[in-house]
Amino acid sequence: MKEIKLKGGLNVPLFGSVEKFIVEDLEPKFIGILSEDYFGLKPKFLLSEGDQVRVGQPIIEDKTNQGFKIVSPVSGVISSVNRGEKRGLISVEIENDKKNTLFELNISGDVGEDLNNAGLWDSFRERPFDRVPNINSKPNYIFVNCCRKDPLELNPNLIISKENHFFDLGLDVLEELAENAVFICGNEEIETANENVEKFLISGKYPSGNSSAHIYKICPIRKSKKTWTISWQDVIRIGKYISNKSYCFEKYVSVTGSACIEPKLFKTISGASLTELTAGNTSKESRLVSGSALYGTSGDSYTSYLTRYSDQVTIISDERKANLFNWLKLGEKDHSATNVFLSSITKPEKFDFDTNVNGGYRAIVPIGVFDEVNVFDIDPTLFLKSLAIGDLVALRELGIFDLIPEDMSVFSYVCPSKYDYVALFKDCIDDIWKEENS
Amino acid sequence: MKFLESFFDRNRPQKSNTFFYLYEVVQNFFFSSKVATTGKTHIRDRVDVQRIMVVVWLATFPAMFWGMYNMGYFGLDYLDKGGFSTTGDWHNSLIQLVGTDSSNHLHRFWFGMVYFVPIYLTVFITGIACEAIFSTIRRHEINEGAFVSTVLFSLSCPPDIPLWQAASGIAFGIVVGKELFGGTGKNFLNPALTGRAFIYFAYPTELSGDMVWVAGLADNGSIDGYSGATALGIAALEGMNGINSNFSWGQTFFGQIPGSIGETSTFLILLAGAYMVYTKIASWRIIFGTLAGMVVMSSALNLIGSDTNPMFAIPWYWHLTIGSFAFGLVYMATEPVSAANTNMGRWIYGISIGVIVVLIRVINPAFPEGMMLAILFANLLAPAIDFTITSLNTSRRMERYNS
Repeated sequence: MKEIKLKGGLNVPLFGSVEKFIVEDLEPKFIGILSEDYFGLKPKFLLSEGDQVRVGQPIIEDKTNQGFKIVSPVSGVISSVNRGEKRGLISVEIENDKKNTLFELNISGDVGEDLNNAGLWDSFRERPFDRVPNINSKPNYIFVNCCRKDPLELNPNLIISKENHFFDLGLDVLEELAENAVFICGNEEIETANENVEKFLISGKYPSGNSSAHIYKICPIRKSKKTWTISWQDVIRIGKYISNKSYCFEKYVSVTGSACIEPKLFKTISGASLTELTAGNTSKESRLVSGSALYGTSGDSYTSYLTRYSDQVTIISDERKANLFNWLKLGEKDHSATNVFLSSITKPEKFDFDTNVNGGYRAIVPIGVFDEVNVFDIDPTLFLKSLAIGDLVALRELGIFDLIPEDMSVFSYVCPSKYDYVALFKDCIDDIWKEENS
Repeated sequence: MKFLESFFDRNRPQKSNTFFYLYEVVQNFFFSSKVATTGKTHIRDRVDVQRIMVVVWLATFPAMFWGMYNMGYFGLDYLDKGGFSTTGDWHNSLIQLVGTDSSNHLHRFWFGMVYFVPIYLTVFITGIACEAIFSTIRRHEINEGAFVSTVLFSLSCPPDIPLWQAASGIAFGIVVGKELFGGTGKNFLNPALTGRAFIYFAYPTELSGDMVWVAGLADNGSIDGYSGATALGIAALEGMNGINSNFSWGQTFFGQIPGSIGETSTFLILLAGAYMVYTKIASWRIIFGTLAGMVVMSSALNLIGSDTNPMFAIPWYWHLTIGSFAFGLVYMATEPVSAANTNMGRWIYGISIGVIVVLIRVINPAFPEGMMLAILFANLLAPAIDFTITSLNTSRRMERYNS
């Protein structure tokens, strides 16, 4: 057990966290598979709209990753395949018949192939592109993320210690896969019978729960070594699959947020519909987000599903009002990384947020907040400026390969010029991917 | 105010409209925007560029109000000593409205206002107009940065500056110092200082020497036994002895000296600096870096000494209070866009300002005031400083990544 204290970061004290460990079961009527969860996906459809599916039946194969299959987590009918610009896939929606008829599960003995057949291969993501790794490839290092990424979600440790047996079984599988080492990073001591994994205790403010921050502190990314990441939730799923020799698509989801009447913990299925998860639990006009308020996906009806890698749903007030002479406001209830508001003296414990941008779009004015909230090994202002102009050569040197889009959200939050660095990062990393794979 | 709000909502132009950005900035003045977040980050910090600029603008108030009072103090004192009944130009009729009693606080303040407000208005209108016209034609957002540039430029002017010179200075500063390069956020020079440097070199007869630092002096002419010279000007000629016979350190620290409008009171400026550092708008690294550079360089020159140049002997605590060192330190050097952008870089940037300002003040025979030029030089150095600092980071990373 080694301790790592991350400097920098930002506390964003929101209302509506899940505190009690009471699990409600929810079997959703609709589930969705979103293409944005899979970086660089070129889908080849094995089934089409209107077809019957069974649990674990492959729906999509990725042409850029031969053999990798995206499978259905439920049985029922593919109700729609939604496409956007240039007929690019947006989402696949499946109506659950709740009969739970299973697709035949092949177990060959090869870890990678078995996980792929069980629909669990996408648990892993490989750096630098944060992409599902190639089938048959083996990682050097696997980072297991057991951190509470967002302060609103339930402390994962509570669930991990309850599912301890499966967690250990999952870790055994990771150990078999990883050629060099498996690292576990958590905010608290993670109990596990497995003695070969290396454990790290992470402390720090948001976004210190992101794997990028752990990786650079523990074992920075090298071209010659493969670094994979996985979340605690998927380790438990792998453990359950090993133990039961059967599909496991269950997922613990914290439903949180300031516009949420009663924050709850659900045990549901991967890709569950957000409307079902939040039914009767929203107040006011609100926005449903899969993920946290700082990094999450909120979409139209086609994409309003739990994304593959989030364990949280956040409901934020979508009411926005204009303030007269806003620039004179004292701001005793306004949160900011700077100290320009009265709230820096009154220090309220929590703040109410809405989806207002809170300002006009301007050119970057680097007053130094970027450096203050930075927990990564980059020079943030220069990095963000390079993102804004899309300077791919500079970005490679400034460390784009060490990071993934979610790491940018803290910079988007604090930016006084209201840039969306997550979107800029995505554009840039997409372009780099195209450059290197064409 | 509902009616105003719905007026703005109803008349919101398309983004393709020529006047979209003009509309936006006017609307933002009255109401905060109601634009919703898109993308992955759903909540945003309440701070925006407008708010940042308002904080800096507010921070100039102590220096501004003291500046007006102080201008009145010296202006009336001069009129009194010379036995003049008029300032000799158009200001006079306005000043006479309240009175010219040189021991009356209100009269002093009014005198200063009559001189400062026209300068500020001229500069403000010219500066904002340049920004608005340029942004509308170039089709980028109108930035509140011009708001701050104009007030800082006004405060850096001498009291007796002709208004047309002030207007041409700020126009040069905004257009050449900023807009040609893309507007606030893309400027590599501090726009207010660019404008100040422009008028300094363009109109040297009106803007340097001993005649311009007291309002009314240039029009009425000098009187026997009265010097309108700044403490720095005296120091350049007569050294420590000269300053000591005219001012005490306390006077220079609290601002009872002639000088540019906003630069006189080191005390109030440092107070404003503390506020800006607390709000995290100004970088404390730059401020302490500059102080450190100045202290080390001036102490070194004290040690070296010189028989012919009296400036060598000025200790650091006098360098701090005389001239525009404090004003530049707090308001100009901390301008985030033209400063270095890395934390380490900010230290180096600050230190280089501190060193250069002492070098110019002491070693350079032509200009007694070095702060303006020191900051502009450091602005030019900033990209090189950042490049060096990130090279350390990038070369370490690439070595690791490729291994």
